[in-house]
Amino acid sequence: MYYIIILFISLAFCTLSLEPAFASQTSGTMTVTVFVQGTFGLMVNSDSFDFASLMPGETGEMFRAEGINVSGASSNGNPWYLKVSTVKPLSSGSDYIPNDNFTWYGSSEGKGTWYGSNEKSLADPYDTAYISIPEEAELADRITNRFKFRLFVPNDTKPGNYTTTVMFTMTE
Amino acid sequence: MYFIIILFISIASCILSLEPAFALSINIDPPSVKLTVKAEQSKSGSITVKNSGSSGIKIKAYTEDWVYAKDGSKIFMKPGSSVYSCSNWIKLDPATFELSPKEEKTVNYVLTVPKTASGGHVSVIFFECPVENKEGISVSGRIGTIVYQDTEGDIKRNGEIKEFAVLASEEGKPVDIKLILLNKGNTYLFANANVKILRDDKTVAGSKMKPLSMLPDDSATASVTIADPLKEGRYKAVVEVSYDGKTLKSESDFSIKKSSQK
Repeated sequence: MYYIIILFISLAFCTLSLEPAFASQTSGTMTVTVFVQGTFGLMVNSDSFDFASLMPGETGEMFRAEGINVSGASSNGNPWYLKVSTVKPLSSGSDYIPNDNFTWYGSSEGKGTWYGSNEKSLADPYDTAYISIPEEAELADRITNRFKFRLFVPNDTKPGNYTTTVMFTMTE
Repeated sequence: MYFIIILFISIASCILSLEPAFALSINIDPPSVKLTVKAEQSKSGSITVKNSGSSGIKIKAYTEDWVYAKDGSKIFMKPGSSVYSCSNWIKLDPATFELSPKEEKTVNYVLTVPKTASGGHVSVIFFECPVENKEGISVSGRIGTIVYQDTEGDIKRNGEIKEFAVLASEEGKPVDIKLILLNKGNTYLFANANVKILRDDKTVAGSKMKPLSMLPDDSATASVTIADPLKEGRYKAVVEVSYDGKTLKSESDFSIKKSSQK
């Protein structure tokens, strides 16, 4: 216990000693210019996921049960938009699974409009996932949206390792 | 001594746990730019791109076209797809680069307006993390600076109210108001609209509508619900749309019927 008390006293002393003491003061003016950079940021907490192995006719959830967190933050006052799309359908060589079978859904911490409460297919390449309210775009608060993905493998799908890239796009 | 070590480990754990790990974390500044440039002239500027994550990332910068979707978001397309595109007029330097954790870099742009250009144009400068070859499904992100360009000396910014409708019902129920604004000019248009409900020339309710954004020859719709309960009687709804120092006004008379509920 003594060690902890001594540690806190030492830390307090160090903090106070950062402020130099002046024996005398003179008055004066000083111009201070500060450039405050705006915040406009996108954060994604995973760079991949998979559905493990699925049989034709089977529906699978993404293997990452906690989903993917995608956060946006802005301090510019204008609403921001988050979109989700794929750069191409899930493909294995020349074979592919149409995006009608690849869906997303999830939840949002934001107060804006969240479009993922119901399952949506990735067939629409312009799908909006979240629209912030203006208040969220002023405070630079990080608004996190949790995405989950589901895949139905059509009966006529040929065996193979199907890959694609899910793209999250953020703009004002 | 053990106490001190445990204390430091606990404090460090608490601090680290506050910041979730992100595979990708990019910040840009500014998120949009407005450039007024004469035909045959250029304007340059820069965008700061920061890697706020804890791992090094590669960045690819490129331009795309866009048009507005009905929900106000943007539909992105290949450069040169839209008649209002200035994507191919923009040169970026550097177009590809790497950022260490917490590092930021300035990307310079030069927009050169062709001799034949007139009116306004738009584009987006995207900063994307290209995906390394991975098994399964890769996840990537891109963040964009929206570019608005006006051709100096040839800008007509004109809006027109196409529709201002009040859907009123009966006492105690909300009143729905709809506004459709047309862009009759030759450049992008941002407008703000406010609605007031008057009874006997006195304001009894009001609301601000969402901002309206349009490209030329396009329209935007805003709806608002007046939740304040209105009593039976005759009212007037007035909308004022403001943009670029101009104001448009429209009025609509409506009645609130007596409540049918006993």
